[in-house]
Amino acid sequence: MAEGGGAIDPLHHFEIHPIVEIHLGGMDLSITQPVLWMMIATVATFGLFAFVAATLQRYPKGLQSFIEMIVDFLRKELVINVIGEEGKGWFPVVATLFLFILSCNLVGLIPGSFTATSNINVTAALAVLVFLMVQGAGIKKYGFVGYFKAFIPSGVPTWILPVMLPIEFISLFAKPFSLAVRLFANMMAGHMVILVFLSMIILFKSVIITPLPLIGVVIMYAFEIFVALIQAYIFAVLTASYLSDALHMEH
Amino acid sequence: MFEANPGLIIWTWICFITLLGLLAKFAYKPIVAMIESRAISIKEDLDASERTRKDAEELLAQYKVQLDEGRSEVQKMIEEGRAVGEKLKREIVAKADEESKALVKKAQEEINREKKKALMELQEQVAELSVQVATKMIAQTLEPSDHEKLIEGALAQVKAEYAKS
Repeated sequence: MAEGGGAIDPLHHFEIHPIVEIHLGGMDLSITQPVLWMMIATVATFGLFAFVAATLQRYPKGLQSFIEMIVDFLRKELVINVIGEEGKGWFPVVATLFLFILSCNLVGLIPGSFTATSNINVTAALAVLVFLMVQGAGIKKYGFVGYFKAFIPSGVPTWILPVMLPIEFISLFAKPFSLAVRLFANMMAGHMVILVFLSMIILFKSVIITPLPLIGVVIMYAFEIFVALIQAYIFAVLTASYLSDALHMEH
Repeated sequence: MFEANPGLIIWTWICFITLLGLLAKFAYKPIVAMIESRAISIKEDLDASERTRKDAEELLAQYKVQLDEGRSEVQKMIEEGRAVGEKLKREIVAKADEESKALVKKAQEEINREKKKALMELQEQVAELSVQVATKMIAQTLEPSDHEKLIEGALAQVKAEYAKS
């Protein structure tokens, strides 16, 4: 990409610049583009849901039935079906993860905006949160010792433990790592492809070739909407399944 | 893009936790409550309609039984009426028969009695006439021709008398 020159470097798009500089106690808390667009996504999502919640009708129609459908789907399919009845308390977290990631992804599709979820820091922050919640849920249910004891299945010969424990340990951290990387990579790659297509237009400077990358951009854009939805869903469903694992250590 | 950015991480947490708190309080709670209350009311409505249907079926069965009972009662009444009518008819016919027989018998008895009476009267008259004839024959000293005449006269008289009766 370096030889393409600064003007058409697709990676340039992902660089973060402070919009409002904030420094608190030696920490850089500046509002950058991803922060701004995360805030916009947060406000938009809350505005939509608060509006629907404030105008709830006994007989739903239009927007309300759509929102209710989403809420009901998240509650039944993602939480109760995956975690079970005891997972009901985790519904707000799982649903908010889905909605937050989805709105960040969708807001990021607005031309000129920034996709917060295409930055590893954002996805890692969410993944760490999920990791902490999963461990917290397990420890709360089985106690600190009981929870970590459950990593060693009973009846396993002692000599195999030096092999098993590192594997269990790695898998424990691989889960949030994969969550973070999957979302980040998917969102970044999609935008990257679009940007590469657009760079091609500038690179070739040809009227004959221009329509081809343009068609590619349109197709990718449509695909990106799908990816935005599917990645939010995957993140939420994996969170639910990790919670379920932590809450059902008995097996 | 790959460089760690603690500020961004913290902002992500702030945004996410804010959204979580706001949605949990102002959106999920009322929306889920609405969905659940609607589900409950639908279930209640379905239960109620099921109950109503059962009641209606029971009522229908009851009415059917009542109808059947009524029908069989009516049938019984008709049969009873028919039996009563039949009996009455037979009684009336029998009575009439008896009466007519009695009437005929009475009439025959009457006839017989009258016949007997007539015969008795005839005998009396015959006797009387015979006495008269004898008296006459005795009263007159009679010629044989007169004798004949007298007898013939008396016989004619008897004949006429007999024919009259």
